[in-house]
Amino acid sequence: MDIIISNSCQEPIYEQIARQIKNLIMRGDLSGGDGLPSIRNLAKELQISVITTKRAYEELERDGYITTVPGKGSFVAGQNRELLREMRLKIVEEKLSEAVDAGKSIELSLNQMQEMLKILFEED
Amino acid sequence: MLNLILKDLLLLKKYIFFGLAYILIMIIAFQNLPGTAMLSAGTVAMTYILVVNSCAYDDKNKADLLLNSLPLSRCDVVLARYLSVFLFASLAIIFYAIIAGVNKFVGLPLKVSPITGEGIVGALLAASFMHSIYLPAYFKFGFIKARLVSFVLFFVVFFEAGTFINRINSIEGSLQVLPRQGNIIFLVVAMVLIIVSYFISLRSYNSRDF
Amino acid sequence: MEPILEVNNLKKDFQDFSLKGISFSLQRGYIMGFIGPNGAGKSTTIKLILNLLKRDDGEIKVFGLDNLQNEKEIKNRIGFVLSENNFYDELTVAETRRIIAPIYRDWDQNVFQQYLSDFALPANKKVGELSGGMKMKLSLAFALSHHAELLILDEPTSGLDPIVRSELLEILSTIIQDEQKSVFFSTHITSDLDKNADYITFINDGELVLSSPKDDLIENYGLVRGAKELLTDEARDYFIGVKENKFGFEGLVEDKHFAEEFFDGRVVIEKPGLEEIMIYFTRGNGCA
Repeated sequence: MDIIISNSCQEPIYEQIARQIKNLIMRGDLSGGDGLPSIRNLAKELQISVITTKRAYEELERDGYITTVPGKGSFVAGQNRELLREMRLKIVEEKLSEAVDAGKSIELSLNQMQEMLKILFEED
Repeated sequence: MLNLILKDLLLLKKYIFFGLAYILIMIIAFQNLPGTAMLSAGTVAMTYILVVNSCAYDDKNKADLLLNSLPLSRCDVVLARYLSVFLFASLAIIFYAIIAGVNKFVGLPLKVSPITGEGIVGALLAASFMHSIYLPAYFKFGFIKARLVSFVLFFVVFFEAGTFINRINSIEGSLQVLPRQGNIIFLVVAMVLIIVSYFISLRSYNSRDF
Repeated sequence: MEPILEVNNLKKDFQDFSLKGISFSLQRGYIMGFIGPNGAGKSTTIKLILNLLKRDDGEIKVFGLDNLQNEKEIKNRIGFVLSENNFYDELTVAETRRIIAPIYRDWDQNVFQQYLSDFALPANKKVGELSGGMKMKLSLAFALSHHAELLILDEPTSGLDPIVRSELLEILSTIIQDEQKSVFFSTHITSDLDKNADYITFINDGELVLSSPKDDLIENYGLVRGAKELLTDEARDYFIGVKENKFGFEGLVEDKHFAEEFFDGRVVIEKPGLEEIMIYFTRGNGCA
């Protein structure tokens, strides 16, 4: 499991960690029931404050990605990638919706938007 | 607390062996003076050197910071210092005895006054008296300022030590007190003195800021 | 839960300096960095905690116990590293151990031995012959070998190279893993704390400036850079401290999101390091 943080980027470190773990779960690198490193162990390895890792895990738990069992540790939430995937789909929908609104406000046509989408998609 | 005395012994390793030399020098210097002078002078000299040097080491290494951060009370620190006076004085007397023994055995051309009970008491009294004054100065003002006190004391006591016992004897005579009783009285006085000195030192040291 | 270290309204007066009533607390399981410019009162505070100095007013509690009434009990459970080197230069490492070990109730010789070997400290070398970094490690070895629950370090890394400093921080991070031990670490080399510290207490000129989780500081405060004309009187009010140069200004704000809105994208905003935070608070020139 790789977690890479950047000190210089504007995103708070706890968010970077939460985001990366979410992605690992989404991609299937971490499966339901897998154990996560303890918040202290993670903090020590990444050389960051334990309060940061705690916050990251709290966010992950709040969003349903992991569960924490007192005394035992944190684990990837059993239910399912499907649920998480649905949440992600929703996010994509929201973002696309924003893009559509933005495009419409400068009167782009559907074709132009699709063109842009194609280019961006293939950029990766 | 006893570890603090061990600390002094470890630091003073060199000096303790020089102690034998100091005693020898005192014996030679006091060849012609009355009986107990050598023992007292030797004891005072060696005790003085050991105590002052162990205080010097503590000062140089800023030991007050270390010792008072450890789980030791200030009382332990002061008490250890006072006990060390008696330890060093006893060592001095033992060294004297060794030299006396060697002298007799080997037949050196030295006149070494034999050790008497009175002599031991006198030597301990002199050492105790001297440090009853030096140590409160050290605990209140620190090593550097107390050095002046130690110099003056050393010379006064040193030169008086030898004749101290005789002075006492003559006082005893005029007070019509038996020598035996006289000894006990002076012992008690010295003990009171050093106990009072201890409490004064403790009070000063307790209120010091490092 | 009861804090492992609690300082309330601590006061101490000297001729030319005074600690004016500072308060902060530290829970078990965390590292607190204690920062401030030279002369701010950091060493004074630590010496007051260790009762090397007598306080004039206020309260200090360690493990929930008053530090005056339970001095020996507390000191048995504290490990310390002071900035002026602690030991007798003339004694060897082994001799020093012979004196110090029996003084601690819970001395653990095996742990000490392990540290000596990890730190490559030769037992028969005189302490005075050790390098600065090794002396600090020796202090640390003693501090860690009697099951201490609170580690107090007073500028332990002054004058040491970055490698040794980084090693020290590794060790400290490992110590707090069990969630029971805490570390109180004073330094003016704030880069040591940028990463690992959990909380930061910042004092200046004898007064408390702030005491918060480090992340709150670094994630919420902002280092703002922009054109001089943007620095109106109204704008200045929002800055904790500002520095102007020929080509623009740089300043620290408490709320970077607010600054983003206020300056409407016309400035560059970055995460501050603890050093910048310390500098701008000390410097002023803002009115926040």
